[in-house]
Amino acid sequence: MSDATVIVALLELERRSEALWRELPGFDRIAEQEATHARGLERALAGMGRRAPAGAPESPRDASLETALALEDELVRAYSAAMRDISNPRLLAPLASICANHGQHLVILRRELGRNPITRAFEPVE
Amino acid sequence: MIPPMRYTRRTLLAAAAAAGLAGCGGADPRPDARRRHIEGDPRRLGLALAFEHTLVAAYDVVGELQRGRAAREVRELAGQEREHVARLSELMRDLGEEPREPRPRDEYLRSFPSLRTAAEALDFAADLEERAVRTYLGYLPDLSDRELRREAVRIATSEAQHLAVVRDLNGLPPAEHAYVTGTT
Repeated sequence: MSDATVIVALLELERRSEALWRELPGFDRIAEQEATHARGLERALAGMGRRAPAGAPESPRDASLETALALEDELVRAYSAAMRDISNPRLLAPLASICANHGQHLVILRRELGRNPITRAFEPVE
Repeated sequence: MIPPMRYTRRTLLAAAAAAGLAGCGGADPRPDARRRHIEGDPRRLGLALAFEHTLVAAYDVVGELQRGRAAREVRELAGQEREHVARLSELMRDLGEEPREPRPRDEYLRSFPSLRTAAEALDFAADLEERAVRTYLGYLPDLSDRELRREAVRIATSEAQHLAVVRDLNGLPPAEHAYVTGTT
């Protein structure tokens, strides 16, 4: 799998996540963080001589905290898997710093849902 | 008229993380560099383990100054740092290295700042968690084994979550920045 393929998959997830967070009142900061992630990934693709896929994701049908929790979990898994799949070592730290941010979003969501914010020492990975 | 952008250390460091994504177009290291990376993995794991021992000792102290929910959650963080110690120790044994035991508790205590209030203690914990994230992210490009990279990111993500918890307990925004680099 090429680095570009990995980045495109992460970008799709980030765009979906941004669209979802924008539907949830009071979470503009997190939506902006997802948008920042997406812009970073687009720049990474440009650095590889690739153009990011066009088009915005559809508005989520179920815009809820539970849906956001599932998507943030998916993002952590995807970025963790990228650590195995990415060939260019210079991409690793920036991608890891984004993964760490998604881990923080999980903390926020669990607290909002009245759950233990830090359920485990290691989030599940692929 | 467009107002000039205000550059702070934080925005410059975040821009560097973002720029790190933009500036990536190089190839893998040469074979001799890869050999040096493989030989360095146990040393990096050992250094990370040493820092996790520090975090365990620190959370014991931080927890003593907390009450109620904060005390419960800090105890949980301390438990998770112990799990990080166990995992790193296991990884080191897999590489044929014997993991070092923690130093005597008094040595850690002497190196910690004087903490008088719950808020000061949580600030101290946040500083250590930032440093932990910075440590793991710093090692990533040099870890030769892809599975080790994934483990490093799992622990870095956990430390970032701990950072979010202690910031929240201290009345601060838990997820302050899109790129968690540990360089505030």
